[in-house]
Amino acid sequence: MPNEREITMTETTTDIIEQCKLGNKSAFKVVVANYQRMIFSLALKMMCDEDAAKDIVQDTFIKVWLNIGSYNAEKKLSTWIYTIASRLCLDELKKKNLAALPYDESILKTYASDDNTTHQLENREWISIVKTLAENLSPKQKLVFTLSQLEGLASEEIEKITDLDATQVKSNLYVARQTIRKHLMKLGYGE
Amino acid sequence: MENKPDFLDSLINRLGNEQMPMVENETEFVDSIIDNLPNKLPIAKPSSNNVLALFVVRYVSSIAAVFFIGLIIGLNINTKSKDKTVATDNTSTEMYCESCTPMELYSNYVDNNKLRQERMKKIEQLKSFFYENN
Repeated sequence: MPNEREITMTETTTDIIEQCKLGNKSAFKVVVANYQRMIFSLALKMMCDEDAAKDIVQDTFIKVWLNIGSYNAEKKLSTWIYTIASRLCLDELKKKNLAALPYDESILKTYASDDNTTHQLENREWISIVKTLAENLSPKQKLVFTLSQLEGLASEEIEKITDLDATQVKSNLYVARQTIRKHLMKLGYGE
Repeated sequence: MENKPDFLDSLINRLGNEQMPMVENETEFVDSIIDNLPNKLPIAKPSSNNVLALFVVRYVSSIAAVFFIGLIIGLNINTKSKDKTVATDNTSTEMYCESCTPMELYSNYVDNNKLRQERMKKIEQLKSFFYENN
């Protein structure tokens, strides 16, 4: 029978992980609460669909739950969870051909021309902007671009998450940025 | 010449300052994730003692089983290939068999005994015939 003792936020990550390994769902809830926003953000930008992003978050945490016994504490927990989520996103993108989905450029146009910095983007606006930017990117380029430019992760962390070496990360990011630049130029931005 | 900022870089900078996208009701979402977790314990890695026990059970026992099966088959072949060894000696008509079962040996003994008794009877008859005629 799993040990279901209450877990508080004051406990260290190591304690929480140890409790999760014993099957404590209350401890796992702390992990989910801490990392779900981070994973949803990545998944929404990758999948460009709110329901698909929610499914990715759900599947990610199921995998985390089932494999927490093999989690190596030498790796950051966030990096490990990002790795699982990234792989799920890539698998889903390979199944669906999201590049063929239509996008609405008007939201990017409005956002770019609007200098009101207090306006916060809604999920549908994020989806539309990322769709417009990443239209011609391969799933891998999209992942590297999203992790680096939209999520603000360091190159070393992206290498661990994507299992690419530094050169591959750099070249994927370079190609992604060049592709987006060309696309934006075609749409009349950035002259 | 004026150094115009790159549109993509300024867009990325601006997006970087935006709030992260999030689900509408996070508490409900977290609860639903927990509710949908498979209801089983994560599989623990076997300890070193368990690894040894598993090794013994899986490999040593199967090697032993194969050895005994081989031994039984080998013995069986050996027994079958051995012809019933029948040795005779010049002074007696008795036959004995090394590879016979106890029952076979017993029946051989009974048969041989009958032969001996018949032989003795004949000798007695010859003796009496000889004495009567002399």
